[in-house]
Amino acid sequence: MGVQSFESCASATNSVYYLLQLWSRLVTSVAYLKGEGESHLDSYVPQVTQTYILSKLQTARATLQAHPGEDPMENEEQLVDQLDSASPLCRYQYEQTAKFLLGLFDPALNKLMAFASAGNVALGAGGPQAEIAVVEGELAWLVYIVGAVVGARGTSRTSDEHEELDGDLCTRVFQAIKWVEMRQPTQPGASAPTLERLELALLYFFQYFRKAYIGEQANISSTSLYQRLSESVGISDNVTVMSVMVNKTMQNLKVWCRHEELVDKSLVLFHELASGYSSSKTLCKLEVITLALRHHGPAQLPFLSQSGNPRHRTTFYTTLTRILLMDDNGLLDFELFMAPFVPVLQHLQAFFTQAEAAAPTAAARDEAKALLTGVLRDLRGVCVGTANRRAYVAFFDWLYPDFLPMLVRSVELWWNDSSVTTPLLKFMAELVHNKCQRIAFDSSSPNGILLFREASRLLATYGHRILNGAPPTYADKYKGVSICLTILSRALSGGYVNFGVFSLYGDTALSAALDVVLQLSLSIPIQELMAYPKVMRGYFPFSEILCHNHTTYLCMLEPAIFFQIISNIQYGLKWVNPPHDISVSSESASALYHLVEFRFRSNKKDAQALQALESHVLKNTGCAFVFEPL
Amino acid sequence: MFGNLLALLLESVVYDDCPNQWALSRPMLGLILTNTEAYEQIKQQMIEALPPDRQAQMAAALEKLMTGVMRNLESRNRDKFTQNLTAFRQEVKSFMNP
Repeated sequence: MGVQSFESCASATNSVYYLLQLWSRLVTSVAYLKGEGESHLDSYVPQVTQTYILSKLQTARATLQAHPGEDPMENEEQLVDQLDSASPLCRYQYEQTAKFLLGLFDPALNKLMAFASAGNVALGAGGPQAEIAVVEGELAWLVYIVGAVVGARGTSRTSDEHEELDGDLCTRVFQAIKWVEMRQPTQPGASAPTLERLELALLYFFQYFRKAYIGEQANISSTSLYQRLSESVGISDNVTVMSVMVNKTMQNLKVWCRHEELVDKSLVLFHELASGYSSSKTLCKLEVITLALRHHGPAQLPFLSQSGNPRHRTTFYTTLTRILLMDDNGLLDFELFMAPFVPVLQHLQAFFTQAEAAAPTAAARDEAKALLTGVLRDLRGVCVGTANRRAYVAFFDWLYPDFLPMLVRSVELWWNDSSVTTPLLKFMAELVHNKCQRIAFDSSSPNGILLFREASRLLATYGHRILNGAPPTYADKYKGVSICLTILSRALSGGYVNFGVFSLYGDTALSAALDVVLQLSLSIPIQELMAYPKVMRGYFPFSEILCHNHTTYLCMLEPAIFFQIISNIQYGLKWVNPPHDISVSSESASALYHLVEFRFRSNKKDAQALQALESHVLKNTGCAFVFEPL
Repeated sequence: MFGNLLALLLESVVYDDCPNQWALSRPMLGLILTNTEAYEQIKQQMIEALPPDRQAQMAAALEKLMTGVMRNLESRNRDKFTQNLTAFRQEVKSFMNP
């Protein structure tokens, strides 16, 4: 029955998944069976598995023959669900399934090699494109299933024989990479759905191969696997195999710079390779990586400047910075690593200097804007990656005073353009974020105060303009306000600035920052504030810090402002039941606790503030709360 | 102003099943200690809002809320108050929904 259902699986993706799950459960429970009784599974499972594999292959072929130029498979998420259930089936009676898979793989590869030796196979180069597409579609499916099977290595008992079979199957996949490299688009924009699918399948395979053979628990000395791989494709150890994978990934970032899904998945793989302990150590040794640390930027990696990839720039630089800092001494001098950013920032500086003298042309503005938003996203990625004190200090020294003051000039020019201010404010929010206690300067260094001053200047410059000129919409105003709240909360709670010095030396940086952010947040009606989760999650921690660490400032505020803050706390206290975010009521309660404690303690040094607080309280006795039980 | 907030907190802690009860109870002791008049009023309102046959029970429960609690915000005293509050909450629940 199962066999017949799989033969018609083209039509019903969902039921295939449940059918596979059933069989997969049967197989995984075999281990718990007792007794000598022979199980019929031994003969049925390979039959079911093979039918499934074959029917998917035939579906791909039939689809492509009927509609050439279409993607023959369902979306990857559904496919991955199926594969996860199918892979334990394949490893049951693995010899049979592996032979079966090789029997399908080899003809497909041979056909492609024949096309290759016949001449032009590159995309857009003419030739038998329709026939190629069919074989490519089949190959994509085979790469997926091999990835799943190899990745499921942990689900069955591993033996040298099984590892050899893994090696045989992986060999075919690595051979497929050669084909893909011949096919890669020679001009940007040229593409074929089947080739893109094959690329996605390869990334899937890399991920599963990584988990099975490179991951933390994996046995590094998988000699049987590498023996097979080195015989056929010259991959003799985990360093070589990582080199192949990373090279392919980097190549994707160049060739497929316009394909968002491929860029995204390549970066995920890159990030995961850099996160694993042993794989990251290997990564450092690769030439392609040392090269990338020295030469990075839109010229080498065109995906950086593609408009669809702004998020990816940050991800990429976070990963690259992590790799740089893997070694205690740094794989490369930090200045050298940052060198590619310098010309961009200098160019921007020149632009701002000229803009002061005469209004820049529209073209010059657009160019500067694109450069600025790009480099800010990159630098935020670098800053996210600087996870320890030494790295952060190196980054800060590089940035200040040479480049950081430029942010304020950018805001003066583009304050009402959220495509600039969002990445800019987000960069500042990362820079002032003292995670892992990374912001720790020498006791004689003024850097903490200097950093806060820059943040304050930026908040004031942006905030006053927004207060006076931005329409009250999320895109134009609230989003920026929410990031401002995050910046100030992080700076105030970072512990790297002694805020007492500002009033002591008559420096207005602190009060200016508090004033403007308070005005910004109170300019949003509370209902609106609660309607946008990001704004809400920015506001309440800020109100808590205000009540805790800047109580004097709070008490000395104008009564109207003071009551608005209290009324917001009261509003927040009602946020007690899910689906409301209950952290709001916790933060409000904590804010109130600190204010009440301040009043209870009645320290002599706070006399002035306490007096102001009492006068606020006296002004507001009119409306008595009526207690009504529910 | 502070009286309102105290009443609001008492109401949520007693009558709402909120998961962050502990966090909400934190400012209450300070509020009670710094707003004794308002607290007396609130107590009166809480009692009077109930049907006559429950009023005595509520008054007794409220009395116990501050038993053994000093006039300070040291952590031991705060813990004592939190314990009392939990007991209070359970007691009120038991006679409100027998």
